[in-house]
Amino acid sequence: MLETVELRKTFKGKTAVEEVSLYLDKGESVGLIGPNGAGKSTTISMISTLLKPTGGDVRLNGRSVIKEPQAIRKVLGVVPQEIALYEELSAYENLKFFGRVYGLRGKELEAKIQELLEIVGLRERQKELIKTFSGGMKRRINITAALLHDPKIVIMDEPTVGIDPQSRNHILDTVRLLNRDKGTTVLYTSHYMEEVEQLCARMYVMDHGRIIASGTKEELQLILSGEDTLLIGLNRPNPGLSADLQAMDNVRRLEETEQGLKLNVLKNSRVLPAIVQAAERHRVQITNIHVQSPSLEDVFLHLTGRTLRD
Amino acid sequence: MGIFFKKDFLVYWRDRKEMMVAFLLPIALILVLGFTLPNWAEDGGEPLEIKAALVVADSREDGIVKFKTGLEASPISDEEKKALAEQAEAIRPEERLTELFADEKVRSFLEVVALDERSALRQLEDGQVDAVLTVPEGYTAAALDMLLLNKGDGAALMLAAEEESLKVNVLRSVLNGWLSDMNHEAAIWSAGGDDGGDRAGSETAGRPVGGIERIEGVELVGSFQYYSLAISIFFALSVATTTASKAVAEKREQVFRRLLLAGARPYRYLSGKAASTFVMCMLQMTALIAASHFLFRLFPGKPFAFWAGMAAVVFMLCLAVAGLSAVYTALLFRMDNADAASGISFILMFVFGMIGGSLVPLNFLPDWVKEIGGWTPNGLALTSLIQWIQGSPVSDLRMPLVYQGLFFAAVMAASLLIFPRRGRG
Repeated sequence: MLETVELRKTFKGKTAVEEVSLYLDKGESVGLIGPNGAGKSTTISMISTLLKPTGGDVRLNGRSVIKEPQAIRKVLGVVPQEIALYEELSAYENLKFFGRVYGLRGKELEAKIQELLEIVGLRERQKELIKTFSGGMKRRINITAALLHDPKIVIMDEPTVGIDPQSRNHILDTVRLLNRDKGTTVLYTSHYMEEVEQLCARMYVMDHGRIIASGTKEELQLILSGEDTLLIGLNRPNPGLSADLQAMDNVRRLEETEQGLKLNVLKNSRVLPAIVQAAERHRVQITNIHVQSPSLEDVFLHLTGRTLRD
Repeated sequence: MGIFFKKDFLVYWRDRKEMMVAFLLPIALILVLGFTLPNWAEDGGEPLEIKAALVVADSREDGIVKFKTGLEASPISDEEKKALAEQAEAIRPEERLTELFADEKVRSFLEVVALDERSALRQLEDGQVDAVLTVPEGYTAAALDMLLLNKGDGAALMLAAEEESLKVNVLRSVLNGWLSDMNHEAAIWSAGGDDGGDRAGSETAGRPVGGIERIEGVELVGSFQYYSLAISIFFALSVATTTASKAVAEKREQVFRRLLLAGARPYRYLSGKAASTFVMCMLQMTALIAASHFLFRLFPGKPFAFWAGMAAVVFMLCLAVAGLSAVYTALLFRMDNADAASGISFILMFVFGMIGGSLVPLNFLPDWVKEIGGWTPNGLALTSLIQWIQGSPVSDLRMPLVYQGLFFAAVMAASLLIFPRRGRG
């Protein structure tokens, strides 16, 4: 349905997006993840025709939207990362304004506004000014404003940043409703890996302007199929122990956590005895050990060298 | 455009802090400046210097001869004829006119040069004199006939000018005042005179010896009037800057991107800005002038036509300010640094305010600054309003109103050209 073909964007000689090719099939929910500055927002801006690509193309059902931007505007809804609403207007006034700009009128617009407000759980508060809303409520209206014209494709750029759990749940439910019940195609970017895991069947990992990996959750986890993750609880932190473990051949990565250490080690490498010995040597007591398969966070760290929230 | 207008207007209206600044601060400033610097702005306009040519086509001697000839044919006694002839010798209307022009106060703003008719008309055409005042042939005879015999239509001075102007109005006013005095004196003289006076009769006393079209004279502009207009106009300019600063927020908070995504056209967006600025500007100016009028009794007893003229100037000023808001908005979307663009609009507001007489009274400004300031929307509006208060004719408003309209059209066109196209960057 929607695809980018070797999309590229340079700003004053600096490359922000490099040959990004991705696709979204009809009714799919796809995640786009990457640390800050990875090029996600630039890619979204080019897809939505707000930014002209330096190279490559964006195609909707095979037709270039660079050449025919009107084609995508009617079917695309974009939820920006920022709260793109008028603070001095009420929720209803904001929605009515954006609905009118989308070309909706009268009863059709009124019905749509009420339907969407019901979905995001803010129908009772529609007459209140946006500036009186909590961050989560603003984000819910921010999403609603992008859905007024019943878009076939919705791009959500970090829609849950800095909000309360109740609003977050509302937003995630809304995305599920859109995708599963209404068949809307969704491109979802987030800093929260668990959200992407819950909502998206496939995902793209972006870093330094490039797509560095893509696939389903299981396919991505296969990248680290040769590793196990060890969560080791310690009675106290000890830099000497960390240095010794890091130096071991089978340890791929080590991260200090609040409870102790997190190690990615080669699968079946039998490193536990050596770890216990090292702890005794440094007079550190191991309180517990958990062995688990690598998560998507681990995959991301493996691919980019950074956590998603860096 | 309607939905954009409504949105922008509501955003403006609900900004309480902005509303306080827009409506209460100007009143406070007018109050403070009006009381603390009452003499700063008095007679703030251009010093009045009128030059007129006086053409005397009448001959007093011939006039008296003609009067006496007419008197002979009158069905009255010889004694009455003799008395009236003596009175006619004593009445010298043209001398009173010369005395008027020699008066020190009148001379301070009116210079009268005696010329023959041809030279006077040539100088009028060349712009060397503002008007030509003619004492027509037969003036003395007609005046005496009316005054002493209650005969004929009376006598009239003739005033010719290339076009109506404040100076011509002032000259008319001066002559009008003089004629009024003359009529008054003549009425007293006739009523209290001998037989001849009785003959002139009470009817003559109530009628003018001479006449001239009555036009309102010049009025001085008081400090409260000046500050009310100057400050209201300056704050009208600030509406354009405020509109631009609100557009900065729209750009920063990505609301504008959402509008683009929704398919909004630049002209609709800019038109909404201009329309809301216009309405806000009109509301602000109307409220400020009305409040000042009632608080400080600015223009008591003025007729409807006066207020209509004021409204026309304010309307066109607000149109020009609306255009400025569109061009400021376009500029900030064109420039990468929105704060810099916003800063430019603030600087322009203060420069316009300064050279246009809104921040510094016009009489304090050097001529060349006044010349430039006269081309700013606020400077032009202020000058027009001051002249209007002083009694300038409607025709004097035509050029400033047309200019403000052209200014609006030009800046709106410029704003559409400057405004970046979708997909730039």
